Amino acid sequence: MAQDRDHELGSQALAGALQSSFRLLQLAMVAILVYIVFTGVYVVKQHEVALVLRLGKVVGTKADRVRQPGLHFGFPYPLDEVIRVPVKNFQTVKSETHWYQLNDAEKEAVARKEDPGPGPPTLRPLMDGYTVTGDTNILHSQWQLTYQIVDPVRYALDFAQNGKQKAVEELLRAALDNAVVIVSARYAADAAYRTERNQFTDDVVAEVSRIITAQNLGCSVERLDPVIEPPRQVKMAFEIVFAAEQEGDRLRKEAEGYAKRVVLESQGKASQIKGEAQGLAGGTVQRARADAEAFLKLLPQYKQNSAVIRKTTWLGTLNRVLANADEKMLVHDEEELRLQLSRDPKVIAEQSRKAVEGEAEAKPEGAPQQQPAGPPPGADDGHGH
Amino acid sequence: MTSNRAAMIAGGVLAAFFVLSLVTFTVRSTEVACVTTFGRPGRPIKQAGLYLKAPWPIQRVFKFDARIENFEGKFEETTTEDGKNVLVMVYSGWRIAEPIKYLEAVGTVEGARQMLEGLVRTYKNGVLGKHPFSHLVSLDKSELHFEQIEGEMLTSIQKEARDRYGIAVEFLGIKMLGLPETVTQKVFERMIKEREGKAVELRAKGEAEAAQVKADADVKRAEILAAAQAEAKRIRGEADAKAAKYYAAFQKDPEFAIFLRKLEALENTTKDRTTIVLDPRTPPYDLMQSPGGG
Repeated sequence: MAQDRDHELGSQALAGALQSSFRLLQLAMVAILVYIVFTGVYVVKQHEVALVLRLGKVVGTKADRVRQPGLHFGFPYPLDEVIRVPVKNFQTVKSETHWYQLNDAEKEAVARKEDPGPGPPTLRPLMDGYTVTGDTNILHSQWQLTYQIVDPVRYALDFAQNGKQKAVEELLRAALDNAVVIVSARYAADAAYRTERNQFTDDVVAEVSRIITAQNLGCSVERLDPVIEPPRQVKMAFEIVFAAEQEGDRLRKEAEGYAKRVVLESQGKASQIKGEAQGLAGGTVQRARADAEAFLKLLPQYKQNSAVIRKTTWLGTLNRVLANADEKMLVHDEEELRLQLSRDPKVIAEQSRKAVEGEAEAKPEGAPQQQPAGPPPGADDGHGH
Repeated sequence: MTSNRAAMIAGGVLAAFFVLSLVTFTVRSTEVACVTTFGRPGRPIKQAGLYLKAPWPIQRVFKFDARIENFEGKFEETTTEDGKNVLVMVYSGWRIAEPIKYLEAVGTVEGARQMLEGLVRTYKNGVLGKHPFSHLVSLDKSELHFEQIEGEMLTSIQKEARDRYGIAVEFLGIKMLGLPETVTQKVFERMIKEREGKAVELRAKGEAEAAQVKADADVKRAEILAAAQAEAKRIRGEADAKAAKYYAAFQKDPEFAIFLRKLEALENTTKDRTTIVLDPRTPPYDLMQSPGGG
């Protein structure tokens, strides 16, 4: 009896355990079902579009297979698989294929913001990247390509992806390197590095765009940011050229300044010459008119009594001439009669100044002070001697 | 009873899934596949979808990623037609086009890379050996044949890769172009010499241009002043011509006119700071000698 009871108790415990395990299993199945149902609902965010693979095949026609931002419904995983493509975000790819490597000591120098030195005498293949320019010179460059995905189907589905490694990014980098090699090969080093750097960069943009289109990588180039440097080994030579160019520019600017000044000055002088000529010409014409008018006015009287008119005009002129003269000397056959009338104050001042200067020069020699021999001519009372 | 029925349904569904997985397979749009029957390759599958197959070990499915892979060759030395040594690295985008051929000849991505490496080396050397260095590097754009060189390599590699390995080489390009290490040192020496010469040339050019600008300016100054003098002469000439019209009036009595002009000249020339030496008989000083004058 006791054995039967024990057996019954054991069976009950086993049934209980089975029942609770089964309940757990039921719960797990419900959870899996809920998960499966909800994986069929997905949201496409504002910066992306989505593609749906149903049993591995892209859902939709060419026109509607790209799902725009919003809430979408589909079949649960693994029937449907949603691939999101960030088409509105700008993506970047950086290439240092054509850049050189620094050793540890050089890196430390750069970290200390010091010059890492001229580097090794040669460029080591696969360590020191560079491009060969059209003049068979060498340049280093590194580039950052900013791009946008324009064909999400091509970009997301046609290129391999091994973990985080996306073949399309590697191919974009390779296309960029290819473009830099091609464009460098037709530019002179100085042009690519300095004088035509913008044009060089634009040409690389055009070339990489051409390659991306030809290879159908599903992207478009947004911008390209280069860092271009001559080899460390020859940097000094580039600096010498730059300095010479600056010196040449300075000389040219100086000469241009001189030319501008000379031309402006001569233009001013030319205006002055013409102005003076115009003034003179105006005077000549005016004078001629006045002379002619005076002549015509006087002529009728002259015709009537030429001797009187002749004499009076002559005397009138003589009066004015004598009145204007600073000094007049009347010289008789044996003696000199000197008259000073209405002396010009300027002449008087000038003569006084000369007299004082003569004294000042004489003084340092210790000569005794002398009174002038007589009053200065300007102080004359107007009587002759 | 209900629980038992549910368990049975669940079990049935799982069993159905298991059986289905044995006799079906899916090919994604990013894949190609090949079904072998007892090891013998059968149909290639290039379209995405759900397919039937006999269960293992009768039939076996080999799926391959059909998306484009990136391949980069080695940066190796080769010689151009004119005997110049260059280092060239070629890259390409490739994908599996013929799954059966690929399975038989290559099998793995690593194997494919090795095959491509050999092909690229062969055709890179072959094509570059037919072109001079100036087809790769030149300041004269008409000499450059970069795209043609890449195109020739691609065409040659494409055919052999497809025929022999089932690989489609989609595109190809030169990723790196360099010079042998020892040559780089010579290039540096040349670059330094070129730039030293260029510096001298630039300085001389600057000086010459500056001198020319100054000389031009001096010439311009002379021209401007000469033009101004000529203009002044013209103005004076015109004025003289106008004045001459007024002087025509003097024709009425030339002798009197000349007399008046003489008086005017006399007055004009003795206006400033003039000392006049006179005979006392000159009027009006003749009055100083007698009331009746001289």
